[in-house]
Amino acid sequence: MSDVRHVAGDDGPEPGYAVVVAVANPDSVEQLMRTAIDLASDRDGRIRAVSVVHKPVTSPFLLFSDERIKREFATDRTAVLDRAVAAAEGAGVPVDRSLLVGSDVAGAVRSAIEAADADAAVIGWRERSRPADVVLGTTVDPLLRRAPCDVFVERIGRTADGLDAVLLPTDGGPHVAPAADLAGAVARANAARVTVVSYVSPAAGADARDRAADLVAAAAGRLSGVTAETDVREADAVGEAIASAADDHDLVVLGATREGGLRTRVVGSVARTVGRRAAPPVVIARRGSDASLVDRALDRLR
Amino acid sequence: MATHAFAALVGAALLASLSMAWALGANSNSPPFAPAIGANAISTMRAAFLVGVLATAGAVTQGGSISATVGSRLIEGATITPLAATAGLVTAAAYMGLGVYSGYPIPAAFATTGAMIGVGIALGGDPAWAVYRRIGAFWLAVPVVSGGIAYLTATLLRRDDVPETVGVPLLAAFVGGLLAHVRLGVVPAPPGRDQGTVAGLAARAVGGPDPLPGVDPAAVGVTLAFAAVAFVAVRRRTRRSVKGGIRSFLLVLGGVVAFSSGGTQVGLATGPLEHLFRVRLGLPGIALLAVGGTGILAGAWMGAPRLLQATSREYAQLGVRRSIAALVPGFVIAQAAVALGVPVSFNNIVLSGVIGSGLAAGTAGVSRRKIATTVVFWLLTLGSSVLVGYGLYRGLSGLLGIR
Repeated sequence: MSDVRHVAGDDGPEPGYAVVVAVANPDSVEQLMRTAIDLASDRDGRIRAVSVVHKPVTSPFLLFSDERIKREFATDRTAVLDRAVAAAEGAGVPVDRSLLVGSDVAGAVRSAIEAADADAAVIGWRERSRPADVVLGTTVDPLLRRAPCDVFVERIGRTADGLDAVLLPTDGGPHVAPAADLAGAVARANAARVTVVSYVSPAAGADARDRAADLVAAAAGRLSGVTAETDVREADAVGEAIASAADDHDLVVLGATREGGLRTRVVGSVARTVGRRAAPPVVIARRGSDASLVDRALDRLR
Repeated sequence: MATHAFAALVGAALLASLSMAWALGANSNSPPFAPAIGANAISTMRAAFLVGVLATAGAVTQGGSISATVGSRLIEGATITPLAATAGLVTAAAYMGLGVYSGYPIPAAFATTGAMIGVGIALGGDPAWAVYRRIGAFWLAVPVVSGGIAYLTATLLRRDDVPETVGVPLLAAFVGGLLAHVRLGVVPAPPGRDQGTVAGLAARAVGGPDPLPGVDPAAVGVTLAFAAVAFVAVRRRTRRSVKGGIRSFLLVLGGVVAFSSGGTQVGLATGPLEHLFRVRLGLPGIALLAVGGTGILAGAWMGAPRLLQATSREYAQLGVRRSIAALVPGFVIAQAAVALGVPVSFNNIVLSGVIGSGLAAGTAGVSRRKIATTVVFWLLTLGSSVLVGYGLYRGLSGLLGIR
């Protein structure tokens, strides 16, 4: 039962660039809002902060109406939304808020994305999920898989004070575009430089190296008004290499990768390794799927 | 060769039963302690530990009656073979998994009952309509009775002219008195029954036949003694500190309900193996319940901390009084189910209790659409599990060439 209704913002989608940011944990609100603000202000867009009152199917509140749950049993969520709005104060980006009730958090966030006609969504991801955050952990994958817009998954926890250097590794694929867009937006907002890098195996031939150089150039081409340096480096273990390169940067933006088995297909094994090992904040970008109904039905079965 | 196949089948059935018990322990026994955690009466980890121990104790001492219903009373003229038991358990477990995965309300009791009926019919048995009528009537009564008891409890606790130093001890006395009539496998029972009650034992000790509860003087005496002890103990605590007294009551109530939930849930996992264990292997009923209890213990210890963490916040929002009001019917109905041997889903009881206690505060605030969806899912679960159980057994039986 993924029933969802909106408290605020029922007046339909407005034109322009819109970012939905899903907030749950008060500790991570500022970090996620920072990314959302950079994205939105770069395009004169707006932000909708969304929080989901998660009512699992075993909840004793299962049969209460959404209105009553929001009124009586959602004070913590309301506080988180207040904090999100406060975090955007002075940033010059309009923020509105939406409180949802649902037993399926990913579904609720997705419906919020559709209702806001959002172009991008920012969600958090915690490497070591505590029981309280399990909901979030299980939300990321299904959301990524079927979101109708670009999704940026930001690892919660470590934030840099200043932001001077952004690392943008690329190996091609459809998800580099949103990654480069975010890297560009953050770099412009913070006057930071971007390092675009691709990795080849030390045994790679000239063809592979040329291809990597093309990929780097293509990604760098999406960065306008930003100081960017490009590089093709050799590495056997790409994930490890990115993680150690990340030490010299304040943010890593990765496109979701496609290799690996079924379980890692959504985010990719390289992205996961980097997310786990890298010291600075890591954002994994995934381009919105315009999957057909059949694809979506198949996705459900996977 | 035949013995090997039989041993393999028994192994498969046991494994299925253990997994089902594990899933039940992980998913359905913890809510009773959530209010106590929400009220800061106990820590999450300690509660999870207690849930496991108490639910297992309840499973072993009280689980027999519902286990017998699931295993042998749902079908006439056929006995559940190991293959049939496996098919039924796999079906039920699949429904539970579907519920957890999809987030739809799928009660384990409905799925198991349906699956075992389907399997039994596939074995060539006849539907036991009289038993279904009894179970159906019980299920229909649950929302009304649970909501009603919760409403009364909440009203009592809310009344300004009934001070908490009277209201809470009164509830405790009610629960205590009922405890004298709780059916336990460890209490010597009158001939022909597996479970006895403390009140019944006292009555027989004094002499005379096993009485109807409340008829025999000795039984009445024991009941009153239990009630009095509970009343005095809780009254003392509430007089010292109302908040502390309510917390202790919540803790004890949670314990009693966790115990009862173990007794109602284990049968869903062990019932299908009743015939195999008792008749074919000649083992005592408690051996089977111990297997189920072990699964519940493992499931509760692994799953409870997470579930408790999530639900305790919800109960904290509900408040102590309404939590008590939701738990009292949980205890009453679970014990009635054990006494009558009716499989029940614990969550359904608590759900109605929470709504009933909410009504006492003025408005129900329920969503008709959600109620309709939930009821539809319950009915779908019940109906389709019969078909799936039937089909799965037929398929397995045809494939393996055994019954």
